[in-house]
Amino acid sequence: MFGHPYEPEDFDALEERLEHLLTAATSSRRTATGPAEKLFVRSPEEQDLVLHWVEVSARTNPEMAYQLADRAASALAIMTRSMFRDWIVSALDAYDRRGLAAGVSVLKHPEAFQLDHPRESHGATLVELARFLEKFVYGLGGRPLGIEVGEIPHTDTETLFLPARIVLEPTLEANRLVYRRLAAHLWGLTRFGSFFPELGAHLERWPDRDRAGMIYGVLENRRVHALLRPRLPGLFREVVGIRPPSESWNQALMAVTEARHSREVSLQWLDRLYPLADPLPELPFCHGQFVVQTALKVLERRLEKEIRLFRTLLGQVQQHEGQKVEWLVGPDAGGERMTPEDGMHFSLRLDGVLVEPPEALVRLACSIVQDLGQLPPECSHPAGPGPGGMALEETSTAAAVWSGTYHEDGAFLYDEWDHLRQDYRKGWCALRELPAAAGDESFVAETMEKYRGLVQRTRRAFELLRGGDRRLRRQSLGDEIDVDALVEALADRRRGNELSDRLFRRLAREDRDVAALILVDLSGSTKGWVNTAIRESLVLLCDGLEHVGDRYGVFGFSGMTRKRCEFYRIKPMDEPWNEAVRRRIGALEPMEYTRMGVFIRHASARMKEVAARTRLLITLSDGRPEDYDGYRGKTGLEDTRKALIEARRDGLHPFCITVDSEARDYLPHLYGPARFVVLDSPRSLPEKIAEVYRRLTH
Amino acid sequence: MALSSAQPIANPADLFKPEENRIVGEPYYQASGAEIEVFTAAFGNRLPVLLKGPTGCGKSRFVAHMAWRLARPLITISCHEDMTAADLVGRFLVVGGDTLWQDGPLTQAVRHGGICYLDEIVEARKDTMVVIHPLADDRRILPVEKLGGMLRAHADFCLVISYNPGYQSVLKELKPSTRQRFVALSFDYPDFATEVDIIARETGIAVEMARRLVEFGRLTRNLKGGGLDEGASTRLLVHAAQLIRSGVSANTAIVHTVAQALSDEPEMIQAINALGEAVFS
Repeated sequence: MFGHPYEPEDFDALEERLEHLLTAATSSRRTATGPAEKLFVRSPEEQDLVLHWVEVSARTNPEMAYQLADRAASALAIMTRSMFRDWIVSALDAYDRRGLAAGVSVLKHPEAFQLDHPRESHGATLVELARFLEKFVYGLGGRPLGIEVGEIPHTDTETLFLPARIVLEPTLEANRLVYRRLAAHLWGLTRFGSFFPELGAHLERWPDRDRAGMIYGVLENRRVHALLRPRLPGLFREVVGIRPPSESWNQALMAVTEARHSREVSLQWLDRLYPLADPLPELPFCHGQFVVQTALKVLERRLEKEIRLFRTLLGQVQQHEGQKVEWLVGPDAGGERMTPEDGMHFSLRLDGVLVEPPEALVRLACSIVQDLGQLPPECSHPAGPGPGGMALEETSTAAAVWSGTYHEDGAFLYDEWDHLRQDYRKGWCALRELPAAAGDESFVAETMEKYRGLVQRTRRAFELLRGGDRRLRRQSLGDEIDVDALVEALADRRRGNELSDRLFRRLAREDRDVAALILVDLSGSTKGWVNTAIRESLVLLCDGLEHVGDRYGVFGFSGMTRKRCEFYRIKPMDEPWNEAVRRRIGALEPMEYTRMGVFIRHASARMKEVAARTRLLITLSDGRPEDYDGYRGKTGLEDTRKALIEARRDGLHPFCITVDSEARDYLPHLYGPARFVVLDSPRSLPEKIAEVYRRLTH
Repeated sequence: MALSSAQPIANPADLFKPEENRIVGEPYYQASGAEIEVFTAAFGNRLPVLLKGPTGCGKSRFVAHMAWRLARPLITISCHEDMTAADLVGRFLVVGGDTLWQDGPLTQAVRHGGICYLDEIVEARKDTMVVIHPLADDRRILPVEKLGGMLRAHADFCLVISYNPGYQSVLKELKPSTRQRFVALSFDYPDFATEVDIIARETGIAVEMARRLVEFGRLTRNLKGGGLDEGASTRLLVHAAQLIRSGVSANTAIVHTVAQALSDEPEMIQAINALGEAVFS
């Protein structure tokens, strides 16, 4: 019926499979028949390919899957296989970042994607370059900037918005270079002070504020371009010329190119150019666009927050109240307005004595000077914790300001591996660290009493692990002579035998430089006996660790969906084994789901800060990774596996202790052989855990 | 046979030839402050010197330069975590049927009046401090436990230690009791013009190229804290300049001397290379 060699029963099978995959998106009025008919004309191999991707998409969103099934056949007609994959991945990416409408729009227009993606893949994509570009602009200096997809390339002074894909040039390399140029140019706008708080007021003076903004933007772009060219000649080898629409514009462009460091010149020329009503010159693509409104909003919000944080941190530096604080900015340290040309240099004087300002303060100062051109006077007035400053809890996230969590207010964002896409979903999981609830201390006391004998044995076994100096005998080099070896050697010589050269003793220190992070599964499935066993084993393990002297931390995890991953601080690395910790262990209770990957990533990030030769990441769990929104089966396992590989790459030793009897099926795949232990019953957990740890670190 | 301990040096000439450690020819060093003056005065007053600063910023070169300037032999010891006091002071060796005392490098310097430079002192085991402390104050004596005696330092003996306060863990901080015995000189990467000068003089490449290299080096130093522990040191830039002088292109030289030396992470290496490509036209 469709003029092809396949049998009608094949069609039924195809329709049935699609029907099954699209259940959630079909209804009595919208069935899988339409997509199946379109797809049936493609080869069986292509049908399988499409079914695979429909299945992948269905896990993200049923509507996305339906749209894909509906368009896949026409897409395949105009695309190569690799382009087809890119098209779907870019649609899923659009869905992740901007929602259903954006995702569907990519799927609905395969021809638009194909046009953007002409002969094979010489187009560069932001997905592959984002991390690199982030580091690149960080290296250029100044405030760290995020990289995100944006329809028009621009910056809001905290993030560079770049197109998802660039296909302007004939080669991949050249298109990547366009990305670098764009990023460097937009970086230049933030670094050389094109945006500043009073800009809004300057533009308000004109009836058409947007037009005024555009004129100023063109001038600033040229000024920044003139600054960038000598600094980054490899990026801007040739002058990117623009055609001035009039003689006045010509003069203006020359003036701002001359001016370099002063945006005042651009403002002065704005006053002269606006009334002329000349058409605006067109800017080259690699300059990006100058978007004023959002940038000023972001700038204002940041500045307020940064000055507050700055003053609070300054309060911590100040040794006593009333101490005179002076800031010296720039190499001349004259305190005058500094030009961005000078590598920003700050020194701090307390009561006339020069002190080295802390790193966090210097970074804040750099960011503030970037916006204001100088440190405002209030920056010399420290604020205590109170109305002027920030609560101490808030300042403790000062570091987080610079690690990209600025906008998420306390949440850490982690990527998640999607094995079907074979790619990371960027910033997919939001994790928050929460204090664990405190309960009754009696649980710990009862456990110690219950396992009295075991406690004694464990302690003794752990004490043996303690490091100490050991005398190595019969060494070829050493501090002192090994008399026994010498006597033997001399005797050997008398007998005419060969004389050994191993005649020394040496003191060798056995440094037991071990730090362990114990990650406890608090998912709902641990309810009942498992939870009790986990708590009991924690008590025994902590007690043992106290005796061996290893540094250790205990954290619990649970959550529901990627938006709410919760990481509980039971015993932070630097907190001693005290009453508060014991109360927290007593109060641990089963909660929700086990989205393992994100917690392993966060625990790894935590452990990376710990300086120890051997760093262990021990997971205590009762089953396989599972979460509400599709994080189960292979998805969960593969993401967990990826997270463990990342942890190993960071120099950690992950190990898993589990009571899941089916774990032997999947744990070797996740942890590798000999990196896990499966206990037959939760009841044996308290007995075994200390022994497992001892073996692990012996 | 009895062990003949506390035996005097069997044949000092065999064991130590201080003149062999003398620096011949001026090691190039560009001062960026009063360090030469301060070191000379410290040496004249028999005070020990502590050098601190990031890796590759010229600490070791400075010591070599001062040894040359003061015409003293230089003994450099790179400290490591297995280094004990015995490694510094000396030990008995078994030669034939006899034991023979051999001076360690520190003892040699103490005996003959050399500059003893303990590089990265915090890496050494704590017991080394036992021998360093009495040498570093006005007593200027070295306890040689195995010989059952003390050795008074030669008038020209000078102890120099260095450490990098940047990346080591808090466990490896110098104790105040140690720090406070030393005249401290702080080193950092030189300022722009000086660093250009150093690279051009050291390697003989054109000043313009040296300038570009330093600009690039400074960009990598911005990455400190953003995924790198340290940016490119002056030493790395000198290495890059040497390759460039031998005809390697600037971008290739950077890949192999800087990017690969600073990071193993693909994106970071890519970013460092891109910064290089941006700076070199």
